[in-house]
Amino acid sequence: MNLMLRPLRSTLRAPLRSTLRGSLFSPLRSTLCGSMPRPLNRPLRTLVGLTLLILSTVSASGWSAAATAEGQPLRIAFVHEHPVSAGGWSQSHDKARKGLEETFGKSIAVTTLEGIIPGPDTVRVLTRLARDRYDMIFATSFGHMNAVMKVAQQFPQITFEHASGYKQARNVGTYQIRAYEGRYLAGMIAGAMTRTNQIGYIGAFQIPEVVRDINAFTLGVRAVNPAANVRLIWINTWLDPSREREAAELLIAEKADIITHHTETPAIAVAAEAAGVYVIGYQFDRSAFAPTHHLLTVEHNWLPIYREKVQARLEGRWKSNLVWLGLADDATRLVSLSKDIPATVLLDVEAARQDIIKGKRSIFAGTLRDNEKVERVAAGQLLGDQDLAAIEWIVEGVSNAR
Amino acid sequence: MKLVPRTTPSNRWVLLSPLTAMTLTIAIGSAMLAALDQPVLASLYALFIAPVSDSYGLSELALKSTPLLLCAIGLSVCYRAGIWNIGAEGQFVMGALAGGAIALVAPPLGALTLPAMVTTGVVAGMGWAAIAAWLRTRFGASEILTTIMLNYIAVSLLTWAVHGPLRDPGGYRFPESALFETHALLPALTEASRLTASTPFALLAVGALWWFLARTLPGYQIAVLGADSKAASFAGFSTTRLTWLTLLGSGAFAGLAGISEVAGPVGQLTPHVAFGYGYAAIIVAFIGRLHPLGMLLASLLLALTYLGGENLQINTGISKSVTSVFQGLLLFFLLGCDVFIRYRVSGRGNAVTA
Amino acid sequence: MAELLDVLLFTTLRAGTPLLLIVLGILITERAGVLNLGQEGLVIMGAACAFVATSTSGSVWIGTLTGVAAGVLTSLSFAALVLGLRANQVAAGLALTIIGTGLAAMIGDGMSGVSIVGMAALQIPVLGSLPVFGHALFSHDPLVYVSLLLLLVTWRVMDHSRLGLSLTAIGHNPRAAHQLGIAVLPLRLMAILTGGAFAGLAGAYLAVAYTPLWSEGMSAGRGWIALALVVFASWRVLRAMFGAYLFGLMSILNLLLQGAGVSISPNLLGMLPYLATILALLLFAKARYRNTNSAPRALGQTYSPGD
Repeated sequence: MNLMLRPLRSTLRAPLRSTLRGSLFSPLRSTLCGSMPRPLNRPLRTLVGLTLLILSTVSASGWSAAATAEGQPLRIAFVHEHPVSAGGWSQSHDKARKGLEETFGKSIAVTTLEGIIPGPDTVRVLTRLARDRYDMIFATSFGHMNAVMKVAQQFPQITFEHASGYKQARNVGTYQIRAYEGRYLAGMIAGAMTRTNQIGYIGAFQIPEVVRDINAFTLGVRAVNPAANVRLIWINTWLDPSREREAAELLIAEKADIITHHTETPAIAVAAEAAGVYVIGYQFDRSAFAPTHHLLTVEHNWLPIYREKVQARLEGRWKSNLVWLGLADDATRLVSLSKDIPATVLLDVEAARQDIIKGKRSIFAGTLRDNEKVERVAAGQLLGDQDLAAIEWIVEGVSNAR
Repeated sequence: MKLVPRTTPSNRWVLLSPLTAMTLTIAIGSAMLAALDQPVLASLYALFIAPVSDSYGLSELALKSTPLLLCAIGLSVCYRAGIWNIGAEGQFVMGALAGGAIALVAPPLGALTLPAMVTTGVVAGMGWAAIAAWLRTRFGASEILTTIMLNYIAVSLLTWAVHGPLRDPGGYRFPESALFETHALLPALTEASRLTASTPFALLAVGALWWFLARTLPGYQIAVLGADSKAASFAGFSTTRLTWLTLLGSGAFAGLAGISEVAGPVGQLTPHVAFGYGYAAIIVAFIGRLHPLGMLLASLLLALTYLGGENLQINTGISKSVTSVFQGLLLFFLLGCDVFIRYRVSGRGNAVTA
Repeated sequence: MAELLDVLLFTTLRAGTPLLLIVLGILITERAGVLNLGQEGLVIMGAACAFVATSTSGSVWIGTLTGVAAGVLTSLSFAALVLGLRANQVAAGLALTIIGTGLAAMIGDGMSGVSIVGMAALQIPVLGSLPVFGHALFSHDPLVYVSLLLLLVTWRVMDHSRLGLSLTAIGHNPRAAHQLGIAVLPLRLMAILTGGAFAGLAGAYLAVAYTPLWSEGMSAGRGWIALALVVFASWRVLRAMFGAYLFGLMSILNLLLQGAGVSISPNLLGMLPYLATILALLLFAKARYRNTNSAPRALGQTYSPGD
């Protein structure tokens, strides 16, 4: 250490010791000089007393408010990651919730929580709900899975249901919609309606749920129009209207005359309407956002699943299982179909729908090749549920897929 | 009405300021709740009392406040030195990512796993902060800019990792890592809570920081002089050295907070690991007036508002965004009331006009 | 190829507009010596209020003005804290961010499912049909042109007028400026409110013209990025414009590269804009050392007239 510093250090040290000896609060640059606060004077005492008074009043009233009556209705809680008004996944669940309340009326009491981002908070929220003696808890986001499993272990008498997950327990069931069946039908319509043979697809993340839908859609497109091409863009977010809009505009600039998406907001529908191209909506009816160019929406209908599960619970026969409903149960359906779709196309699609329901047509039947021309499903083979749940390769006919 | 500087800071207002701020926050917040047709007293109960009305709640309070406190401790030293490190979030994420990677891909280390994870987490946080330190000392790049950009880059790296190399092979290709094995998890302190060793460590760190600031020369110099003043350079205090030390220290704490979270209550790597603690810790640092004890109390208070917001939503259905409003109002009013520590209001005469 | 250029230019101009507005606002505020970290709060407040106003009134211009007003009022509270009550600017800015985002979420509650008729793009008659650049430059919505106009005005005022000189003086040495008779606090107030107006306008643009939708968190970090971009621009107006559009281009480049079949993970490509900003800063750093008075010397420091 250089010579200059030594005398300085000793000069600083002496006052340092005496200043700090009596202080509890160390000095904050340019604000405080510390010494113990003097005994509280009158205004301060009044303020402290007032605060304590307020706190005790609040405690007393709150305590009585918190002692709710133990009621008869089945207490159900929904836990969502996104706000239910955000127009996508969470909203589709909430729509079904309304249907539940209509069906079961007074025999259930439903609470909805939104904005529960997966993370350490989820365990706490679920624990609180469990301690508040909710009977049935539905967690609707994939990320909630491990939290659900943890809490379910501690509260074996409470029924947990988790959407889109793959882990079950004695008191944890899972459920999902075969949206890909609806997508296939939508693809058939898109294939028939496209003039430029370019169909845009905006995906969020390359995970099985999204990939399944892209593949089914493309298979539907190619079933009626082998020359058509699906152009794919990944935007790495579920919920960012600006990104969605930018991606939509890029695809439209690349001559896509129909666009569809696997993202949450209506931004893509809005962009399509503004540019005069068709949009195929997803999860929740998007026709309000594209009054003249909405081709159809592949809607999620969770109600059949929820109705069955709640009914089973009310009747005491609930068991944990993996429920994966599709066209046959109306869990996925095409809504708000445009008048522009020719009747012949609609007839074909209806026929296909019946075939799929009756098991006469399989969407993921061989031979199927991925977009690098590697054969993935041999002739005569079918992709089973296990494979579908983990699918990651993208079918040929989709350009720009990795 | 003029603000006149006091000759000595008012001790009365040191205590009065946070109390007044809290009162004002509750007042305005209550008005807001009333405007939303909510029962005010019941809502306030749900917000402030109910979350900590049982032992589970208290342990959760400690759990939530721990990462906030850890990050804030590191940040406070930076801020006292005038280094505006906004990058605790990115340093947190990198600590979680690097430490988590050890848990997931390192060859079996047995009993050494946890120490390796924690060390890696700390070093990764330091390394991430070091980038900002290097950019500032070598290129003069403002740490505000670089740390913000690095936050986003860290989150991108995390997302890439959980979608790619660190993804759970048995997880149906969902963007999450496998759950950490038991030996790679911080053991819980008690049966009934999720608290881990990070909480007592944070308390130790509070004590250590106090000691550092009050009893060591570098600490005192940082506290009083900061990096910008001429006095600092006259005292032989090199800005470069100070920048490196404070940023590395802050990065270490944030990285520790990150690995403690993922090896503790979370137990895996997910895309959501960027919980916003890095940003919340900045608030904690300021509400706590950059003082170790103050930050301890502030972290508990802030954690209470988070828990309260959740609780309020469970009870009344009010959106959780009311939590942010309460937090922001608290900081707002505290900043406003703090003025009376250094100034008094004078209605006449001897004030120097602006 | 020409079409690709067209798309690139068009989208860059649109994507860069909100950034440009925020950057200009920050530049004015920081040149006057005030560091306002609350940009995210201002932008999202502008967006929420603009959306609700448009939805209720049916007019995009009422919505836009409401967004601007929201930005001004919100930044007024910041000004009260920082100028009136001598609060620490970093902390006050953060408080602004938190309150702003929370309030905006409450204001916009339930509005995510609402659709509005967004701002219509101008179709400028002759210029709009020019080859290549016609569409890209001359068929934007009015706010894009407003932003360019504001850019010009800001440049003129900040660098070529007495007012701008005064503001810069305040930012470097408020005490000396005060001795020279410049009204420090009123001018700083004006700078803060102007910054708030610009940020509110950026938010309004997002909600009323760009998407046009409301979604919690739709500001997507633009406020933070803009803060960094101002530093990158060394507080110079034209460089700020360059930075804003560069960043806008970089964020779209990610999408474009996918279209071109580049096989880098989209998650890594997402880092592109942030890396580019740091890199560009380093490239300019050498020049900055020569230009040592680029950062307002009194930036972030509390000015107290009586001290």
